[in-house]
Formats: sequence, C-alpha cells, structure tokens
Amino acid sequence: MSLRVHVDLTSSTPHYEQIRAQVAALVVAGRLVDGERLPTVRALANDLGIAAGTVARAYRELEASGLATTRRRLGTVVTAPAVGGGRQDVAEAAVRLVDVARAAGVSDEEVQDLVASALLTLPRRPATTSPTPAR
Amino acid sequence: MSIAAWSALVLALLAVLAPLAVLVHDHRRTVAPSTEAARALRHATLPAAVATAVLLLGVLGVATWVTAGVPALPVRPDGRAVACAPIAAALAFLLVHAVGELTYPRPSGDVRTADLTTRTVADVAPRPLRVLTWSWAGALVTLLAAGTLTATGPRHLDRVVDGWISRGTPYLGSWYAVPLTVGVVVLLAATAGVLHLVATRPAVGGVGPGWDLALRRRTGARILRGVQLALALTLAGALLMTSWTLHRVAEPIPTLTPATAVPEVAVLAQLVLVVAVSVGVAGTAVALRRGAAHPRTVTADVAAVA
Repeated sequence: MSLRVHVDLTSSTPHYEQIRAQVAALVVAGRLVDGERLPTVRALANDLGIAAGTVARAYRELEASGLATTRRRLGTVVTAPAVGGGRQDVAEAAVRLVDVARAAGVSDEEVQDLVASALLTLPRRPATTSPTPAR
Repeated sequence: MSIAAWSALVLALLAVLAPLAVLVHDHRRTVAPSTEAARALRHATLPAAVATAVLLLGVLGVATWVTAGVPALPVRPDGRAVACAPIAAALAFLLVHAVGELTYPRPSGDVRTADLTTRTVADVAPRPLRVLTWSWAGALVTLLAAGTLTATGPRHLDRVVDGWISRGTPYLGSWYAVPLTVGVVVLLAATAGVLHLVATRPAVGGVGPGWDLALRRRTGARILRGVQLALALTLAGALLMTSWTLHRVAEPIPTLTPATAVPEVAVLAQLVLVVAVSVGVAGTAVALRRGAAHPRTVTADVAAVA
C-alpha cells in the first residue's frame, strides 16, 4: 500500500507545514522506516503541483527535527527516532488517547486542541539524563 | 522527379505514416480510468507521434537527399553531415519529447495528493533498452577510436606497396570521429535528461501508482527505442563505410601485379559488412517492436482499481 500526502491549498496551515506534519506522523507511526528514501524535492513538488521551494522547506524542517537527513547520491532519507524507553510509552499513550477520543466521538481537531492545551498548561519537568559511562 | 526520388518519397511517407498508425492504435487500446488519465494518455501519445515523425523524416530525408537528390538542393551534402544526420534527428526527437514532458498536465484542484514513492530513471527506462543503447554507443565510440588510430589521414587509409599508394577513402579518421563522438556524448546526455523529466513529471491523478508508472515506462521505452535506432543506424553506416574502404584497400594495385591484393583484408571487409547489416536490422527491429508488456500492466492495474 502506498503512502500518500495531501496538501489543502485552501487551508490556513502553510503548505510546507502540512507536508512536514504528515511525513513526521508517518515516521513516528513507523509507516516510513529508518533509511527509507523520500521522493526528490522536484518530483514531489511536481506531483503536488506546488513550488519546489515549499517541499524543500518541509524537508529542511524534517531534517531540523531529526526525522530526515539528506545524503549525497541518496537524496533525503528517513531517520526514524529510536524506539524504546520513554518515547515508546508516549507513543502507546498517544494511541490510547486517540482510541478513547474516537470512542467518545471527539473530533481529530479537538484532540489536537486538547493535546496543545495540555502542553501549554502542564509545567515542563527537567529532562532525566542517563549517566555517562566513565572512560 | 526521377523514379528513384519518387520511390524515396513514398518510402519516407510510409515510414512516417506507419509509426503514426501504431501510436494511434496504441492510444486507443489503453483503458483510461479517469478523465485526468485520458488527458495524460493523450498528452503522452501526441509528442511521441510527432517525435517519431521528426526522427524518421530526419533520417530518411538525408537518405533521400544522398541517394536521389532534391531538386531544390542541387548540392549533395558532405560526408560528415550525412554521418551526423541520425544523431541530429535523434536530438530533434528528444527535443520534441522534452517539450511534451515540460508541458505535461499539472495537478489542479484545491486538495492535491501525491505518493511518497521515489522514481528514478531506472524505474522509467526498461533495462534491456538502456543496455542496448549504451552498447550501440560504446561500440560506435570504440569503432571511431579504432578508425582514428589506424587512419593515415583525416579521412583516408593508405597502403604503400613498392612506392605506390593504394588509397581507401572515405575512412573513419578524425574528420568523422570528432563530430560523431561529440554527437554521441551529447545524445546520451540529452537522453538521460529527458528520461529524468519523464521520472519527475507530475503523477496522473485518479489512477493507481502502477498505471502512472506504466505510462512513464511506455514513454521511456519509446524514447530509448528512438535513440538506439539513431545510434544503430550511425554504427551500421560507419561499419558499412569501413567495409567499403577496406575492400578498396584490399584490391590489387592496378599498376602492379595481382599479387598485391590482400585477401585477409578482403575477408575482414566482408565480415564488417555482415556486422553492419546485422546492426542495422537489429536496431530497426527493436525500434519497430511494440512494447506489449506495458499496456498489459496498465490494463491489469486498471482492473485492480476497478
């Protein structure tokens, strides 16, 4: 089954952000695996009928968030985040959240608003760091 | 106009009309599952028909000019122009294809969709045709290098016996080798460029990825079939010229004894002649071959979608 991205030209969300969000979601969900090649900027821009600069910016944002990297001769490839630890728990909690929300008839947009609200209201805890092994 | 000129004209017309008929048939037999697909199919077929006509007109036009002459052009073309004609025609053929790709229908509508699949030139250009094209080009460049190294002048081959010179001309010296080598390099680069355009052109909407890829592969195959034909005809012509010249050089020098003949070179000339004819026939056969696998893939994909 092929993976697709959609761009709504009438949406207030910038086009590059729509592409970035969908590709990031596919990477986090494991649909795009580590090392998988993304289409070239020009090919994806042609398929979507948008400017190449828009796709290039989406790819740059993905690179900045560590979800993709550009390699010589290979183009842009996916760099999936490491599975396990706290990230795995968060992914499972997110799945449960969506499951509960859909069972309760809450729309996807409302779920996103709820998560954004929680991110705003809950204080950020200091990140726990693993001890560095002594040489 | 002479009978030879009329024959050449009729042959040229047939050679142009036949591929056009095949292309029209090719267009009609493919199922287009959406209006966008039908538009894409139409857009893929039209440049292919025009490009094929340009290629054949270029090749056959020069052939007619050389063999029968053109009343409006009393001067026959020089050897280099004839030798470079197929490559020049192939470049014009690629130019038409490039215009077709650059004007391909772009996606429309407020919501756009694209598959996150990578497409490279290798995906759209069938491997056997790529190998064949590179083989013809490699063989031609090798022949040109060998000709330049063995030639005793820019375009002749001399054999000196007891102070007498037996001159074979025309021969593949630097006079022919330089423009032809440049032409081959430019042609291969242009082919790679146009195939890249095919790989990155907008995807057809309303169809599965298989249908879209099949249409790209059909275009890629058409491009490679035309380019390999030009290279094969150039190689066949170069071999034919080499065979002719070797045959002349192998003959005994008229003012000397018949023992001055070189039968080994005469045999080599015959072998080169056989290879020249084989290359010409093979290149033409591949160019005329219909890409049967691609429409079947298209139909299967459409059936799967339906």
